[in-house]
Amino acid sequence: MMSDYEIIKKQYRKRKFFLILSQFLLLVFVLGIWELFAELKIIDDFIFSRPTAIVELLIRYIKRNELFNHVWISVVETVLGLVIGSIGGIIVASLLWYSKTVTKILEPFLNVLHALPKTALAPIMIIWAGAGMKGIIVVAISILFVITVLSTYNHFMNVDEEKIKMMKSFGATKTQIFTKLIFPSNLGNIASVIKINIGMSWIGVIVGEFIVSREGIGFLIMYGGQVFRLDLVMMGVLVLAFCAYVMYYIVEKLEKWIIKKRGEM
Amino acid sequence: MKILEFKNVHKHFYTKESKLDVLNDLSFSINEGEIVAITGPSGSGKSTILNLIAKLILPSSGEVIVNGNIGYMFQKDHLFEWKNIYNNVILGLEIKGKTDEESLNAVDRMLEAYDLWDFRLAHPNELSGGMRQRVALIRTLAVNPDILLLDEPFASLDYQTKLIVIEDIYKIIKKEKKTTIIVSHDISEVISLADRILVLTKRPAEIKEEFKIEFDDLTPLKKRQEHKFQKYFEEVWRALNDE
Repeated sequence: MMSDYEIIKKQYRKRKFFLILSQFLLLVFVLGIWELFAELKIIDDFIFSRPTAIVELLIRYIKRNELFNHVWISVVETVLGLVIGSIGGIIVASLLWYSKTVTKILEPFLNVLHALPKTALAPIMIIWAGAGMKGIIVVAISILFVITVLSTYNHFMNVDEEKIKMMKSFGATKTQIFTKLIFPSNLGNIASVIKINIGMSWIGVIVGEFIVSREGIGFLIMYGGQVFRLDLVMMGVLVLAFCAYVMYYIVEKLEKWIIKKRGEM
Repeated sequence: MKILEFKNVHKHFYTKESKLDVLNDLSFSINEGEIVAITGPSGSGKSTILNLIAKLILPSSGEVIVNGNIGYMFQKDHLFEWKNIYNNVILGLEIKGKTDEESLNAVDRMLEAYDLWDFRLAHPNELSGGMRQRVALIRTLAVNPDILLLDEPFASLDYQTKLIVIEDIYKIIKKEKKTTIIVSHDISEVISLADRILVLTKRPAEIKEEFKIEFDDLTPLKKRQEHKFQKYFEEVWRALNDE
């Protein structure tokens, strides 16, 4: 006899398997149509490439050991941009939380910077910080920094006023209110800000590599486009999607781990 | 002995357009060990009085004399979901840097006495509304306040739970012998809890009437069954409603 729990668990597993199977089939279907259309010359594979050509190229790049270096460079740039930009943004948001006056003074400037498409500043950033890795990381930081400051600050300000009052009734200092209430109650929000930042950091890195670089996934894509090697472009995008997903996955695991640790407090 | 005194207290706030008078020449005093309820029409400045006592705001003129420490309890329990019950309870002690053995022993004693010991490692979302409110009260009592301020502490509970929680909290307050000031607009609630009721006028608030509530040593639920309860209810009702 199976217990109710086991039956439910089995049903759950079945459902999960069904979902993954459907996702897989959907992917195969889309790729199959693409391949078929290229084969039947309904689409021009010189312009659209085709899945098998992309995979072949990917295998060749891996075998010739050319891919790893490009991926490594881009990942390092993205991670550095993400970490420096996010931590810096959170620190600035915390300082703004401390001083309403400073926030009021800076507000219009922050809003303008926020509204400005940061990619427009990328060429200047690269001239200032230098062509190469440093410049590219600065571009990534410039894209995610301001939005990190603004959204983290908003989350900090949204903490229930009465909770703050409760802490004040115990005689809490501003620092105690921050470390015991504001920051811990916003861990989940900070995690989602960082998850959004992963994508932003990649935007910065790819734009940076488009403008100036001899290596990286952005360079591969740019180069492929210039010499009309669409399979190379597609491969770059594929690798990019994979890297972005892995980073997202790691951050999500990290978030769950931190929330769990906190729960044991 | 007087533990708290308001002497001709005025309080006004400025909004963008105008000046808002909230309290007008308010004078009263509270003796040690008393349970006093403050009631009045909504927006009559009841919470302002508590904020003045807790020194979260200052009077515009007049004097507020408080001889002792304040413990403040709110309508919502404001437990931190990421902390377990024990760590929620010692929050005030941590803030004050008073996590000494004596205080922690007192916390253990209260957790045991008020049926929360088995839940000390649980998280707030695992507790019922009534239990959460008890936790909030113990968090307030942990810092050993001389005066307890309760700001509509039962308003967010459903009727059944409310009666039970009032019963519990009353017993705890009596056992710990705390001077208590409770703000509420629920007439039955204040009659069943308080030794004395201050009824405020509309804003700017003054004291309109004062009632001494005398029951023999009864719990809130038992008081509700007394004949006198109805009489007090009618009196307070009249005081609240006539112009």
